[in-house]
Amino acid sequence: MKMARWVKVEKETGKLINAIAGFEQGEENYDLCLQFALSNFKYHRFLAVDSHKVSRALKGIHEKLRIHSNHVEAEKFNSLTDSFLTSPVFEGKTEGKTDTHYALLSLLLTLADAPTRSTYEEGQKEEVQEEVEVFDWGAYLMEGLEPDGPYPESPVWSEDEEEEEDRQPHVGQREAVVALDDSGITVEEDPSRSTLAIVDTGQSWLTRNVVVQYWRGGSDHSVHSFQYSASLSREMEIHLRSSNLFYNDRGSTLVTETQAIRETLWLLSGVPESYIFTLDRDGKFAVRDGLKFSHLTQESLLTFLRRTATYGNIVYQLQQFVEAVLMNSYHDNSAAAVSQTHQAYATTTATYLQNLKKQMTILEKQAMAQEETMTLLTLTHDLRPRFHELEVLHRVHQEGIVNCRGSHSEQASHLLSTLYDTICEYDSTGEDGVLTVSLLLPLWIQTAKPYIDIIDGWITHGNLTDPVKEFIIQRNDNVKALDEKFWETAFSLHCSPTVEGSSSSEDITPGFTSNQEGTTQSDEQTYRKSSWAPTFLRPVLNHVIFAGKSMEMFQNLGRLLDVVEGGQGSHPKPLYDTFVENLRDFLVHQDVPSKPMEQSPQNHNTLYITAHVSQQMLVKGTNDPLLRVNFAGIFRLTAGDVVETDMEQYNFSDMLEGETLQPIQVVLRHCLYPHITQKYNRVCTKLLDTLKTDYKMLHYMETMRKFFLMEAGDTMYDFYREIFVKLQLKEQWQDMSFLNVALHDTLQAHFPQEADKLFVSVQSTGEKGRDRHPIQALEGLTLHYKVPWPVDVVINTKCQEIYNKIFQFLLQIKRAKFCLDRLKFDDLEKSDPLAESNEEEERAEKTMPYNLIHRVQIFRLRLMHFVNSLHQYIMTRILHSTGLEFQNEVELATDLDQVIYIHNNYVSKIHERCLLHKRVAMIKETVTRVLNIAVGFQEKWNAGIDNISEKYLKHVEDEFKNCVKFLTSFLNNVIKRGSFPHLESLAFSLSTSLEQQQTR
Amino acid sequence: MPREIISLQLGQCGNQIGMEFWKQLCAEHGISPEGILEEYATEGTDRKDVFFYQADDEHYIPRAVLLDLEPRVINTIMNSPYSNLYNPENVFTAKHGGGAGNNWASGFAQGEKLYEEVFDIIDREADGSDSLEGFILCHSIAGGTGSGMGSYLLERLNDRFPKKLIQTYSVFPNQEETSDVVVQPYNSLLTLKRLTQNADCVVVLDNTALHRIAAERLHLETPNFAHINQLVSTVMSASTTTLRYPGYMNNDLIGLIASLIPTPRLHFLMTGYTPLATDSQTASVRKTTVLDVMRRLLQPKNMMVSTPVQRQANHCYISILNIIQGEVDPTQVHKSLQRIRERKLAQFIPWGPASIQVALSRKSPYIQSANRVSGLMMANHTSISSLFSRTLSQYDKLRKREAFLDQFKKTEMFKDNLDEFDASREVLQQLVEEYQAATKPDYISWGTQAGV
Repeated sequence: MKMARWVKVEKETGKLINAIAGFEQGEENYDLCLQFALSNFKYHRFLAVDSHKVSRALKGIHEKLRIHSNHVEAEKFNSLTDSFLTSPVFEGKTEGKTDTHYALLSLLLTLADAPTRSTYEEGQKEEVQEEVEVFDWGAYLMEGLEPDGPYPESPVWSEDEEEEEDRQPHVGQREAVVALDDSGITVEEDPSRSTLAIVDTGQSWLTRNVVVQYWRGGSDHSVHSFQYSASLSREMEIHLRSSNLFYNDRGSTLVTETQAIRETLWLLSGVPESYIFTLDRDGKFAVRDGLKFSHLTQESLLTFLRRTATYGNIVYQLQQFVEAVLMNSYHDNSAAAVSQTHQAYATTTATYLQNLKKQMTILEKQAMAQEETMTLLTLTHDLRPRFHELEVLHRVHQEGIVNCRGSHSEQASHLLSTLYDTICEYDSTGEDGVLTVSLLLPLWIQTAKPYIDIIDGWITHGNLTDPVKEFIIQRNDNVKALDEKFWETAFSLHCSPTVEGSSSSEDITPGFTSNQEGTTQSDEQTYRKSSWAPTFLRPVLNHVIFAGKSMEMFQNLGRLLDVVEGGQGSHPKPLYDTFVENLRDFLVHQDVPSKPMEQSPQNHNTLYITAHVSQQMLVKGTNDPLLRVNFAGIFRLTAGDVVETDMEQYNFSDMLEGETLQPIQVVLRHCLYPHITQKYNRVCTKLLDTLKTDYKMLHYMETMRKFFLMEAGDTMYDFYREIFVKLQLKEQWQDMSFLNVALHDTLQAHFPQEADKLFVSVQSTGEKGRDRHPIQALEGLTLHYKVPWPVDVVINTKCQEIYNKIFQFLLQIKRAKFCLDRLKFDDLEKSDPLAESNEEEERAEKTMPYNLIHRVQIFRLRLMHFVNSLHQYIMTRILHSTGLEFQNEVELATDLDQVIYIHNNYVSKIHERCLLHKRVAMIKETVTRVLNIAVGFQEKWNAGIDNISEKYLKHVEDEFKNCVKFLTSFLNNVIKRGSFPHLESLAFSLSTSLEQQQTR
Repeated sequence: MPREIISLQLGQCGNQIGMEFWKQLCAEHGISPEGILEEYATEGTDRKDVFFYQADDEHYIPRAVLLDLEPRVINTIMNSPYSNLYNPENVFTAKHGGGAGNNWASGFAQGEKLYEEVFDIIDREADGSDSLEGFILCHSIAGGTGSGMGSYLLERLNDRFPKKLIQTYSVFPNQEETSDVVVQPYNSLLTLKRLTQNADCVVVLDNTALHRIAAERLHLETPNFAHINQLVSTVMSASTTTLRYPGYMNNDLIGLIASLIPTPRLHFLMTGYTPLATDSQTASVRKTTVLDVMRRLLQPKNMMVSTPVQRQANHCYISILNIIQGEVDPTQVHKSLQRIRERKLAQFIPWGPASIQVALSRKSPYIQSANRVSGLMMANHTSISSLFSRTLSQYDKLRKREAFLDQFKKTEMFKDNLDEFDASREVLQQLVEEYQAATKPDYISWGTQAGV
């Protein structure tokens, strides 16, 4: 009995609390209130209400209102209290003014007085009480003003809503449709529930404590209040309905802000399923239709949430990516293999997401604790830097990963480029970008690690470890190690098929063209080449390539140990570690004494900017300390964690703290490039040294000059003289064994060590060529020189071909010169050999054609002058001086590629200058004609004057004159244009001869 | 298979300058007076085999034939440290030892008599070489042996080795001083005929100019023969340097001189050398650039032929060959050439090309020279005809008086008549005329008159 009564009291107390404080069952405050109230009920005695006191107080208030000249209110107050007191409602009596009446009024009055007292109390209880009181005060006032209030229809309105809720189509609720009553007191209508609650407090606790299942249409009605701002949504709806007859409410679910906040947090932690944000088929989050807040219109809520949803998308996308990468990495199938760069990127991204989740969890805990006010607005405001980060990451991700299809190398380099470019971009925006840079920099550094490791492995150890072919440079497996094309073709840059074409080999050794052409071409190709390399590598890409190739050369020479740093015992510090260490040193200790010159202006600048920035921030009022602390926290987190995962104790946060940031290029220039360059220098110099000392590269080059370019004039002279003599005697000279024996004989005398390396062959030039120009008889003569492997990378067959062309041309000149030199005046003047015996008589009788002889002799002089000038020009001006230039350049070269380039350049230069280039083909042809005249002239001469007719002489004289004239004018034009400065001397020596002729 | 060159040294003068020449070659190639390669001579890029051959014991033997009709000079050589250098079989002195008595005819006649013996030596040398390029003859044209026997040898060599080149280094007598050889105009005239007809190239070494150079350029109070011979050997070695230090250019003797000689008779070359310095003078070192060297070479005072300044004669260069020794940038050479051509520092023949050839050659690594660059010019210049005109006029003076002809009339050649003198005079006269014709633009059509 007593028990039953107590239960009733408890229940009533609950209602009381609910009515007064607005707490729902299950809420913490509710329990507290209940305890408090019950204990008061149990252990306190309450005096009966003193009706007089109450009346006095009412009167007092009445009077007070009047004093404050609120007559209307005063009257109203009076009438209300009176009507209340007189109305027979309580205790089953028919008249008013019962104790209950007074008790209620007393309670209200006491409550009205409460704020003044509240300050004296303390502790949680006090707080709760205050909240209750404050809330109640409003309710009280409202209740009091109800008839005159701006919303007289509110009770009806609530009913409407109740009905509406009932009508909601999507709501599948079977249970617990909670109705509202006028006073906003929630009544649980489910009898079973309430009885359960009555029976079992645990169950009721659970029921009270579990969040309303708003995702199933359940709504927490406790959120309703009658605050003006809190019912905006309702008001809006009413307004819409009243203004638009056809307004159709599509139905909506009421959610509380707290729920929205939590969902937002979940969304940002990457949870794919949530109520507010639905994941559509494209993997994008959309905001569910028909959500509403009590204090926001649907539209504004929607826009607000949509914005958040985009960030959710980003998080989700990143997360998907990370998962995909992880999945693929574990499955060891090559088709879907993920490049290490992507893996690294995924790892860093995952770390970032983890941090994000951590932060979200913290925030969620805060939200759950409900110790601070947290609204969506403040949340988004607090998260704004995060959002910015996400945006940046998204951009990077979108550009770096999503928008890039192609081979691994392309993807990898594209990703790195994108990251780097973005960093640079933000870097250049100055203060605005500082934070972004500090977000991206670690990300980029981490992502670049595999790449740098590959480079390191390649240029330090000579192993190109690149299982999924993500590096920009690839080993061509089909190139044999001992191939002369090794340097050019062993490695190719990975390009997309559209641009690859012929570039891969050629861009490393620009083509055999003229000087100017060569350079432009190489520039172009360098550009094209580097456009596929990660941006940050571009400045040192060539160094990397050369160093790598040099290492490969060493490996193939079997001398890798010579060059690997520190031998087997100590391993050199990985490039990446060095880089990171340097980076830290550089950023932390700004004034590194080693490079003060370069840095000081930069420093100054940075400091100035940051100072300027903070000042500006202060002025504009954006200098929110909280934000600042938040930022700092975030960066400490991201930066620190990134490194933690790398098991390194580098403290990025130190180095990334605001002020010390430098333009990223400067940072790289100081921290990464020097190491690469240093390695490059070491390796390449070593390779060159090895080639020069152990493999006698210079010696081979010299040999080429000696034999192909006839620097060893005496030896080659001995060789070609025999051929010329045979030619002169019209003997068969194309005999391989004869030629080789002749060559070897001459070599044996002076260069015995070269004798077995050099041999000669004759290619048939075809019949028609021979009868046209006797001078071209020698064109099939080809020298072959066996260049052993490492050197033939430089002196390859292509070069040898050109050398041979020059050699053949030289032979022609030499032959013409040889023929002319050998002309003996006696041979000319001698008459028919049969009549030689009685020479004296003949001479007297026939009166030798002295005039003709004289003319022939002078023609010889002319021809000789021409041939000598040409010979001198080619030999000294071109071969000799170009050779000297070349030697100097080779001495200065720092890597093998330069040597190859210089050598090719040299070969093509002499090729061009020896008039063999297509552009000067006309000159060449004319020269050949003259040389041909010389050879033919020699035959005539040796046959004696009798065989030289005046007509023939006239003919050759004219032809020669025309040739010289042509050459002179051509060369003079060329010189005026200044395009062939080296031709000047030839032109000059030829032109003098023409001048003389004209004056004649 | 080198292009071997055999040097023939004739008479007192020829042997003296020959010896200096070999001394110089030995020094340049790092060969000791005994013919052994010196320790320091490790650089093997020079070609010793043009002028030397190696005996079985590897020592170097010059391809030199020493000929004289009196033993004095050759004995001096054989008593010098270089006595072991030469192949003793190549040293020939007439048994009677009486010399030619400064008589061309005597020398010529004795040459005829000694033909067999002399040509045994020469043939042996020629056979011993793979591909003989030619002969270098050192002699003076004033004395008896060098001129007379030299003339005979020239004729015979031409017959015997028609395809081989014959270059002579001919010392012309000092014409300013009254010579000790009174008959030198006769000797000169007769020798010049052979030089004109039988030699391919004559390098004229004018004693007048050599003395002048010794006095003026080297500032020697009393230049002696040693100094003069030093000059000559310098010229001789420099003119063969491209043969001995092979490079891109001119690897045979013929290639060097062929372009210098336009017509068969115009083959008398002047030489010039710079910078000249004696041992005592190395202190005053001047900077030598290629252009400096080439410009100085064109100055008449550096020429080793003295020619009177004849304004009206309008003498000019027919062709020039500069041999530049030392580490030279070829580009510089060509620039200098252009400068010379542009400024017309040298006057050239009006009928043909202005032919300046340049041969670059290395220097001997074993001889320390204070100068970085040195140059030798070999030029075909028409003013050399004045030398012949002078000889002609001196001959005419002597001939008018029939002076000293008794000596000649004693010999076979002139026993009956003096036609040889007349023939020689005609040849020389034609030579002078041709040189003079070469200064004129109508030289092209000169042959018509020449035939007459």
